[in-house]
Amino acid sequence: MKKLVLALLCVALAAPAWAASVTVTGAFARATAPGADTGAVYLGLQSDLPDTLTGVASGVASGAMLHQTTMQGMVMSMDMLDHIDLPAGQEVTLAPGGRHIMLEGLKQPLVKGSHIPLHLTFAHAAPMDILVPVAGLAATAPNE
Amino acid sequence: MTQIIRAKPKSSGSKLVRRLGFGLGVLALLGLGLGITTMLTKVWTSPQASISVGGPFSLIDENGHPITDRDFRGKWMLVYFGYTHCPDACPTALSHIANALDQLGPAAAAKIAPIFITVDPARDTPQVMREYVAAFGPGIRGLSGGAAQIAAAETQYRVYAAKHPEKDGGYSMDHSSIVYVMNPDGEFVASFTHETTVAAMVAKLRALGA
Repeated sequence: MKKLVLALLCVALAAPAWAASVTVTGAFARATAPGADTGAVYLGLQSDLPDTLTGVASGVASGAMLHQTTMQGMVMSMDMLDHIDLPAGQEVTLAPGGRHIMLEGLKQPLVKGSHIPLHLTFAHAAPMDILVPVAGLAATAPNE
Repeated sequence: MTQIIRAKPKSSGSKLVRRLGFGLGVLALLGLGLGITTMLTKVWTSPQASISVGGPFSLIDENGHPITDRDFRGKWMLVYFGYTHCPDACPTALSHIANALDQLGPAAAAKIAPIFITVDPARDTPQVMREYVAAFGPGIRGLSGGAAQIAAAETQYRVYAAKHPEKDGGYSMDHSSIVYVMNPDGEFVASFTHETTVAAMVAKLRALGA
């Protein structure tokens, strides 16, 4: 958590005063089973100016993308999203059962209690590097 | 004056009619609701429905050994179809099953076989399945098999599963996300969806005598 605050602080200090600034809240990743190839990260994003989340990456995975789970009747499907709009002053939440950051090609299992790096890029705000805590296998909140 | 006197009973009479009409409407709606609920309950829980959902399967277990539905006779089966490259929906379903079994206690859990069948056998080899299900708790079985074996099991359970290509060249799987409850004779008796809470699963399994 200290590291996360520090990372956010660094970004806040580095960003030019006129640029949009984005706040990340409640970020967590789900732990993964040994041998699992994919993982999911959830978080809340709020930008003071209209912005767009355009890209995600993490050192623990060969690929990362924005994903959306949808249920059509009883059928679950996942779709890739090009970007996620961040309307000014509005919290946008990526939560289980809906939008998430999908990590693909995990280089190591995500272990509960550890932290993983996450790189976020935006249309306007400066790119952001944060440390995301890893919660339980089926966590719906950071402390599960 | 006479007009007023006449008007009074007339208006209270029409009020009465309106109230009666409203009351009858409410009764009719209640009746309809009850009827629909009864119908749905019958569809989802009656033994007759066992004809249409579930049936024989012949797959490969997490240790690479052949396994069939008959190996589970005498136990309740909780059957869920999914895949391990599914970080969002499938872990939730599996952890709901694991939590429900925890809450039912060891005696009940010993009579129940939770079974995770992959819809993505190309990637979910028995070894992948073994590591995956073990992470969710002891006793969860992870079944894979050849493409034809998996397709046959999907047909028996009326599961929809299809490859969903991703822009990056990979793929995800669209699939029915339902937990089927099968009785010790292998007959379908109930189902849970992504909206069923752990408490509701526990209550239903207790009511069924599992």
